[in-house]
Amino acid sequence: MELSTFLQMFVNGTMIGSQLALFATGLTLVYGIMLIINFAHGELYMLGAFAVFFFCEQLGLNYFLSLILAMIVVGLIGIAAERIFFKPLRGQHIPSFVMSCGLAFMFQVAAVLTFGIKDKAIDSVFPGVVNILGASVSVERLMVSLISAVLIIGFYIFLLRSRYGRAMRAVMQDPDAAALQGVSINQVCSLGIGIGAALAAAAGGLLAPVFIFNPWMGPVLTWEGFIVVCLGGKTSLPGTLLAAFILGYIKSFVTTLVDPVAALMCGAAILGLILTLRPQGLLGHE
Amino acid sequence: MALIKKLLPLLVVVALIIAIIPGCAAKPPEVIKIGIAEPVSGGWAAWGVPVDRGARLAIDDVNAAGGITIGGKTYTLEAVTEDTEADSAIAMAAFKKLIYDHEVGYLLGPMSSAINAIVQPLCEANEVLQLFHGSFPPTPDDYYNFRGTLIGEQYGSAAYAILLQLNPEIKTVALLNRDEEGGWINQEVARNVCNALGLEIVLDEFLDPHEEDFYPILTKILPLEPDFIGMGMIAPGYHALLVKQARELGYTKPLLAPTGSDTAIMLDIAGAEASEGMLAVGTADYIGLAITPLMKDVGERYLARYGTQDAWSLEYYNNILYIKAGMEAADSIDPTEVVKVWRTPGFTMPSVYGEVRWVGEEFWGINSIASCPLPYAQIQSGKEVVLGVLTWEDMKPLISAALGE
Repeated sequence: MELSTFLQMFVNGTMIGSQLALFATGLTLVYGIMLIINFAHGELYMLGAFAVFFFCEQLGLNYFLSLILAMIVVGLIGIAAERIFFKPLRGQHIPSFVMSCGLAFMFQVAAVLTFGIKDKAIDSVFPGVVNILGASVSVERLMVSLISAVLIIGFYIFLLRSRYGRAMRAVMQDPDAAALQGVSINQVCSLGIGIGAALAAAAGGLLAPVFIFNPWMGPVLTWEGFIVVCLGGKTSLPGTLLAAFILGYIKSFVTTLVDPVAALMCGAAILGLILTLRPQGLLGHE
Repeated sequence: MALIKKLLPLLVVVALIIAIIPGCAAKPPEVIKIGIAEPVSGGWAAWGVPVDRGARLAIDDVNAAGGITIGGKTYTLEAVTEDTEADSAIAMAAFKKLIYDHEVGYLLGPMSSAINAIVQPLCEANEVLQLFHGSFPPTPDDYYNFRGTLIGEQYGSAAYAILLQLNPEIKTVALLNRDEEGGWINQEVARNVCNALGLEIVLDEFLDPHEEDFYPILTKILPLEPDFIGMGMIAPGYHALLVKQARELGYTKPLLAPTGSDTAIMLDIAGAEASEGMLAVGTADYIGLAITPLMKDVGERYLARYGTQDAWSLEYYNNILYIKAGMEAADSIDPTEVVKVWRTPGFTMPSVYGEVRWVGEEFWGINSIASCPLPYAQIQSGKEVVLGVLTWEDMKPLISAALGE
């Protein structure tokens, strides 16, 4: 195998991993704080893509301003969904799952009625292709990875350094003890789902110029996101990042070296093997 | 009280007359339900919704022109759509609902060969006339099942033959398809066509139907240096995305999707530069391509109503015209009588393309495919330029070669 092909596979895997990481970070946060299975997380990604499309393509706003607005709008939608639908269901897996399926359907219908059924795309924001030691990659994808890294690092700094971040970590570790220490569970839940939704919207908005989007794209992404979350350790954010890149590299290398079907099987086999050996996931706790 | 008792019989009679009079008035036309079972939600809705719209436009046109008169009685048509979501189990439920609950005798759909294999026996058993739109060829046992549009051998052999005509230097091909039953069937057709045309297949693989990141598979394909990449059952948006990503990675040769081209979507997603020279077989531009006044008229009215032109939409418009012609010729609304008429040698039906007939017996032992012409176009400087139109007679030698005959 030529070095350039190996590098291309590595670059492809890094791109896939960073996309999965940004999407799954929000999912981990929501599950970690509220213990709800939010099956509508993929729809928040979809809404993010459509929001950027609306602000950028239809209102003619700058792409980055559109991205920020999309994160705010979808973050607020997430907070509203938490207040109205998820608050009574905290910690209840099955009811929250059913509720989120209903929400996902609602978001899909809203997108169909607003934007129609056809696949959409956003004009390239960073046109061009760069060559890294023989591996080609579009500038667009490089920027997605870069911005994803900035957002994830920024979110980690927020979690580690800010008062609300510490409160979130406390709730993720032990909500009862956190409440006894004066942490407002309601506030943390709203903020957590708001940030999770905003991160999903960021992923959707960032990838909108790279891929296509339509109202029904959410469920497949949600499944992928949950696989990453389970493999990483359900509530472990470092575990989510590790799992995202492992699955990204598996998909890239196995697709190129064997075939795409083998890549799917290999990903599933790795998930099964790790969960058999470590049911708590890669970096999760018992 | 005594007076009320005396008048009671009279009141009952008056009440009965009042109840009966509306029924004695001029009867409204009776309704014939036309079932449409296609994916109107999910990733395949980009095709399912337009064809539903095409059929509904035709139904509105038939009704506006006074409906269908059979034996002195006037009927109007009514569309009943059930969503298949391109899923076999949901499609089966949709077909059962249309046949048993809505009691339809005429059914349009599905567009998936894999789903058709599951629902067709249900239609045959219930003597429901079915216009199926998948790529799989008919068999002599398909009595109630007709192909409402061209099939895979037609699209595939024609598209590849046109591509070779335009690019005679082509010798090798990489074949990609969706990893689901329709894709497997379609890939088999593509292999046969490529073998018949003497093309060397350097890659033959399947993709997750929802895959949007083609970089990994393209990383495998590009070192093999195929002269073109043939994509089978791929929705127009995914086709455009694959073109865009292949160009990003430096692939400059043709990419062809015989059943998934939509120029507007291609230009929107891949852009004019990446789309340059792309071949569109079975164009969506019904107005620009119009080979009859009816085609132009219907294309313009579709555009006015829905704000867009959609691939395949007018093929379903045609299907309603076939049903109307069949009923009028049979002088019956009974699907079995219509099938008898359709299977009469020499029977022709109107379509937006002009007169068509059921063909295909020489290849598949039964005349079940509408002899629609196949327009083909190329994207040049951001516009679709029509290169020609293949008739059924033009397609016959291509199909023959594709079938190895």
